[in-house]
Amino acid sequence: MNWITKNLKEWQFTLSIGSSSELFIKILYSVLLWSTIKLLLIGNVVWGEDYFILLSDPFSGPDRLAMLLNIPAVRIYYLYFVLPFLGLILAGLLGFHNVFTRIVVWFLFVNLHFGNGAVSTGGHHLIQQLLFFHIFLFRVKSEEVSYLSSLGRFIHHLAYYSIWLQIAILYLVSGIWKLKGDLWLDGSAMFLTLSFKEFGFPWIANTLKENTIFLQILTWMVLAYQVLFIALVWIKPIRKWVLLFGAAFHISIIFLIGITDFGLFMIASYSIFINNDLAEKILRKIRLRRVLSLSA
Amino acid sequence: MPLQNSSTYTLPSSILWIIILGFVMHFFTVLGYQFGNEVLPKKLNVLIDRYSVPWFYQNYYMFAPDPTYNINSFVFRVETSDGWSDWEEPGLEEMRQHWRNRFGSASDMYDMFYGLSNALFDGIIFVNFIDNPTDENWFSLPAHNAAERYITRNSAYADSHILSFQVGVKTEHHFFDEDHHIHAKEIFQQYPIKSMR
Repeated sequence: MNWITKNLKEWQFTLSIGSSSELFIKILYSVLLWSTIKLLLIGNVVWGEDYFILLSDPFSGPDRLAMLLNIPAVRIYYLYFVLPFLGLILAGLLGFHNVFTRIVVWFLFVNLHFGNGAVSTGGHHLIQQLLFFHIFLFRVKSEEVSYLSSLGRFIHHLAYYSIWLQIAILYLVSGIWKLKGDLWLDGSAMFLTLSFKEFGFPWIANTLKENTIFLQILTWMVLAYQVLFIALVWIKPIRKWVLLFGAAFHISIIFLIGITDFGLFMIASYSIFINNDLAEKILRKIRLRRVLSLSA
Repeated sequence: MPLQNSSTYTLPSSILWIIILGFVMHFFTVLGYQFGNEVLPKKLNVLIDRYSVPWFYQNYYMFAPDPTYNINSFVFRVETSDGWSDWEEPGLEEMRQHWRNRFGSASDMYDMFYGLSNALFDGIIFVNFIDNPTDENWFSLPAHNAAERYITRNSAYADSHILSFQVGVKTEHHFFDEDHHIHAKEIFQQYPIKSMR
């Protein structure tokens, strides 16, 4: 109880995770920039009038605001969603963001995400949640001393650890649902997935005719990782190794399974686990590079 | 470093706990949405759904509980004044580009074709449950309308005078034999021809 009381107090007075949060926002925005520009190249099909997906507009009232691009008459205006989104993301990358821009980023992302469910992955669903929490990553200067700044720092800490928890919940949900099937437990899931050229490469699909012990072990390791992540990530001495395994797993998803957005979004989300000192060093290097390139 | 005089501005613990409760309630609904159907009272589930969908909707069931055994592919052919075209699979070219570059938009184009293929496959099952289905039953399916949108707006025939068209779904089914070797079977199901005359 003392530990809780001590932390609740400290969270109001010092923002010891400010650089971690800032780096997280920058990395998340970078991946969002790539993902959005990539989709903008085919924007008229993804969000505009030339769609050939099944649109769903089931909500009324304020909830309808989450799915504006599912209304055919609105899709003609999709650039009014994409361009401000890109603008705010770019500004955020340069360090210009506040609670209002972060709310707008979240709102626009929700609409762009639901505007085309066919290109959505679990990574998009996660990012939608993380962008919600990033609203509360208030930037409170260390010299600010007031009730409002104490509140800001306190909520910042809660949002920061909520992001940790949200990532862990993704794995837990995915892992528990996998446990309800047969193929993950008997070690065939990876084999079946890679047997489709759509989820890999033709040469992999054509080469694999029977399961191997390597694929079986990989299947079980992934399953264990997903189920145990929610516990393991809080243990500081092993956190780095847990995350390295996860990063390797997601890189393999990008290059073997081919679900690039999901892999990159997951790796980007891992940046929240970078400790504050390292995050500060990275941010300082980024700033220095920017200053050098501007003065060159 | 703790700030000078900062402890003067300590918030009352009741406020802190109210804020914490807000976050706890949020995560309760997140978990309730994922697992609540089996354990929580129905009325509570309705409330949780009301809160979670759409703003906090989360779907993490990829390859869960099991990976898919089937992959559907959308195909179509078109009749113009030159006669009928061959069956074309527009997702295939996108897939080839996706194999070459996993960071481009071809992957997303393929995903949209894949979504359409699955909807067309589901449409076939839906209509087959109707006694004596008419052409109208097939053509009024949202998936058929989406396929028509693609053919008339996005395909290579968008600027041609299309007399009629037909869509279909190729399904590649993978299965294990007794020795746990994997095999593939393919079926091809066609929708009726739709005249545009």
